[in-house]
Amino acid sequence: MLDPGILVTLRDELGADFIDARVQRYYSELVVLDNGVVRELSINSNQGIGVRVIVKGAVGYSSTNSLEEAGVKEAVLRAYRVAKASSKHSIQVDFYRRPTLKGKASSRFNVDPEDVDFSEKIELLKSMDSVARSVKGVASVILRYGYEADRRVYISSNGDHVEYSKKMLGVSARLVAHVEGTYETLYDQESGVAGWELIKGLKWDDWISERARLVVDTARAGHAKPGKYDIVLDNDMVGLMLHEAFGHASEGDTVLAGGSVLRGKIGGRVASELVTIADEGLVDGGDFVPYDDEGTPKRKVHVVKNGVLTEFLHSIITAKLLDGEPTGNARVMSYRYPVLVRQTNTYMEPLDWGAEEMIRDMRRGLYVKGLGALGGEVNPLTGAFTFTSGPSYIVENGEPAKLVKGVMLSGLILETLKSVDAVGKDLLVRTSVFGGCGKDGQTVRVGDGGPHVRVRGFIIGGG
Amino acid sequence: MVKTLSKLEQLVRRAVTKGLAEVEVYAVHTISKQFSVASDMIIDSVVSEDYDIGLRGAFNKRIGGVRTNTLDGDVDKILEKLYSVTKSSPEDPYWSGFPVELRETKQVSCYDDKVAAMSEEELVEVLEQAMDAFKEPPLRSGAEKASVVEGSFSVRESRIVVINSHGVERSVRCSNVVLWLSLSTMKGGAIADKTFAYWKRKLDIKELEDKALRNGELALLFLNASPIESGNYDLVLVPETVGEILTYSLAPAFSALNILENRSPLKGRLGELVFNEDLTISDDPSIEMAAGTAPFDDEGVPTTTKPVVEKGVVKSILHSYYTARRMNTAPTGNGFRQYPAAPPTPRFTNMLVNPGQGSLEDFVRDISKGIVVHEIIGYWMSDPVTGSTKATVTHGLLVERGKVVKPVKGVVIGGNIYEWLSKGLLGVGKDLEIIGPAAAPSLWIKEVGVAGK
Repeated sequence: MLDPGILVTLRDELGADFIDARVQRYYSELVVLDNGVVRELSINSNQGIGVRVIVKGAVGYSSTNSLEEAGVKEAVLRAYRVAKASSKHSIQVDFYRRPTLKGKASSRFNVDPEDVDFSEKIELLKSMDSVARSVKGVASVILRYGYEADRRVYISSNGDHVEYSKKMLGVSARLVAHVEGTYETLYDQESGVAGWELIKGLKWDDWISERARLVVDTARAGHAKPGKYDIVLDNDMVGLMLHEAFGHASEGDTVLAGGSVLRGKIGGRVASELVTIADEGLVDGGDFVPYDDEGTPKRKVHVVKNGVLTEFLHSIITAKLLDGEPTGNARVMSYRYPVLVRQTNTYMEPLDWGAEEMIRDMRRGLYVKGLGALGGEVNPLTGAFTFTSGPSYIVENGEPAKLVKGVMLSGLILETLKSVDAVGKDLLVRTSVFGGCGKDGQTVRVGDGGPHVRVRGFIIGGG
Repeated sequence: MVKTLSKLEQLVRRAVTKGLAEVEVYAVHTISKQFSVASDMIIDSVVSEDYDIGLRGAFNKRIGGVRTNTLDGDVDKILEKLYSVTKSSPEDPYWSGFPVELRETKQVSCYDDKVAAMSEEELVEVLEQAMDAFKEPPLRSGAEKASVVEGSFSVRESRIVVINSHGVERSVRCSNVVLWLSLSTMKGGAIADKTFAYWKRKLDIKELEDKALRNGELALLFLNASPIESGNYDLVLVPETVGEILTYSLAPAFSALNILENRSPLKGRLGELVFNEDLTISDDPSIEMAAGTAPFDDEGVPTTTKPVVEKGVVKSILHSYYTARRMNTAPTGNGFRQYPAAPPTPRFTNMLVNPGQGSLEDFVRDISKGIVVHEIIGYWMSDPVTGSTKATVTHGLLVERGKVVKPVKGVVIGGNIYEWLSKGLLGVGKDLEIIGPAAAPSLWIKEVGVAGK
């Protein structure tokens, strides 16, 4: 394994300010069952090192898949040269100085998924497939088993040496119903940072049966009329909303660039006083981020506390330039990519309402459900964000009365969360091995969630 | 690459000795340069060189895949891994092998040697010019401030190799140029923003600067944008938004795999009038240096230009080798992979929507209540299985009685793409734009549901 000493030597030889490296060994498995036929069974293993050189305030990156010292030296030289080449037009960055970091962490598991034969994984999907296709109206079923083992080591010319590893796995389903000439689709997944015991601990036949019946029912359902609604969002939807509505706009690199409507608003009211939003690396049900890809221990950050914007998410560079402290949010998709400021597990802290109580009290509106939701997107500069839901319910007389197809929700960062008037007590955070959050061409795993939450006057459309 | 290429050939030759009846290799060697922008300056620069290698093996109708980024070490070990994965896979009853006996490819260039030869310093100059051009129009129009807040410029050069044990051996060098910039501008204390992207296989500096200028001119139109009342509005989708919407809500429906597996509303509709007669859509791999321009697909099958919709009638669907064999027809050169070890699935090379006679100005003049949609988010959550189409408008202009009256943001447009492109289609523009692997004109769509205030 590489020693930070090599980076210290290179830094001194080149007269650079700072050099760091991210070493990654990655292994994944994917099984795709498409209408009962194995469409794909593949494994993926790769490894490499990404280096960053900061020289006179300019930042250069390069990568190599050689883990030998000579390959690393060559990558450092390439990164140094490109930093110099662009220095005339570069921001003069600085970075947060900190004591040398040493650390190690691994996610927990009981049964290593790599020790489980593929035949067992295929059998699981085949059993789910036959359950799904026995439901009348189901026309197409794609099931996936996904697993990844990600081992990362961070070293720097500051002498830092931090390593962490995680195992993550899950199952997803994409169902199509064809009922009376109408198509409907539903996607859902269940993942966790765990071992094979996660798979063994779930009743997958029940899981898929419930979703198969839902997609058929939804094919017969109508659309919600476009307009403004009072809504209750379930746990998954709250996570999606926060991730888009506040998470991205609070990322230090976006703020630094002038690309966020939250810039200059620290200390200002941005949400109802019921709203407290956390970004935390280790949460039940969420992703596993004990350290970020600059070796910084991930600490719990309250982006919004009681409705007031309190802190942005930072790397060592944005912390220095925005007068903050590193928060452990500097992340990369893989060793090949430059560091971006990213969310980890974003969630709203629970309060005291029961979910049913909240719906009963609303009387009339929409109960927006996350099962089948596809995700969201934000333009942090304009402040507009959007996300979709799964099949949801029109609420009449305080009861979920009528199923409607998934909707698209749209809000404005500085306005929407001011209309939150009830926060539930049922915190739930989820993650996914099949996707994550995309930014500037990089997808990283994230978790999100919260309790049930009620928002007044939300724009709902997409029917 | 030469060393790796000979290892790949060796690997294919040795595959049969490991119990695999067939093997296919798809490998990409990429050299890339990328510059990220924050606050008018470069925040970081990246140079990298990478291999991405996918192997697929088959025997007795069992198929498996292995992906790696290095062939250092023992080739036999990789083949043993591939054999083990393949053996674990149950039979695919439809499997009929990797491609054999392919015809020659046409001369289609996807490589810009000039951009590949440009130094980092020269690329940075291009980026600077694009940023200056983007900022210039608002500043000229009296804006107090105009700043490129975020962006990225990348140039990639890739050598793609496809080899299989049936003797297919193809190799091509392609380039890829992607630039996107977001501008923030302030006038009279109000703030507006605008984003644009340039994505082609070549770098045309004049075209890039024109695009930056044109988008810079649009930026100030969106000062003080806000949601509007819910209701039905005509939509004029500019070419960029047409490309984005059709790519997600319509294009996958032409995949033969989706048709075979009951995931396409076009199943059984070949030869039928499904769309408006003003609509013609082609798969065109020969558009000059567009992002999807290529001489062959990811299986080595030559690409071909063909209409998929002609005057509203569904004329053809897109095939990989696998789907073509399953449907007893010829492959169409549309087998592309999500990543090197993945099975190829059918998709467009470039999706070309033929231009018509209208213009954006004409459409606006004839609209009594509508929105000109310049930028959207969330369109990728549209559903190609149902045709359900949805997006949130971040940059729109409200039109009343033939005149633009105010900017709009934060409203949801929604409907069904098959209705929009049949009885809902009122006009097709002549303003064809190439945006990545899509080329489209403006479209005027009648009475779309809009959720707002």
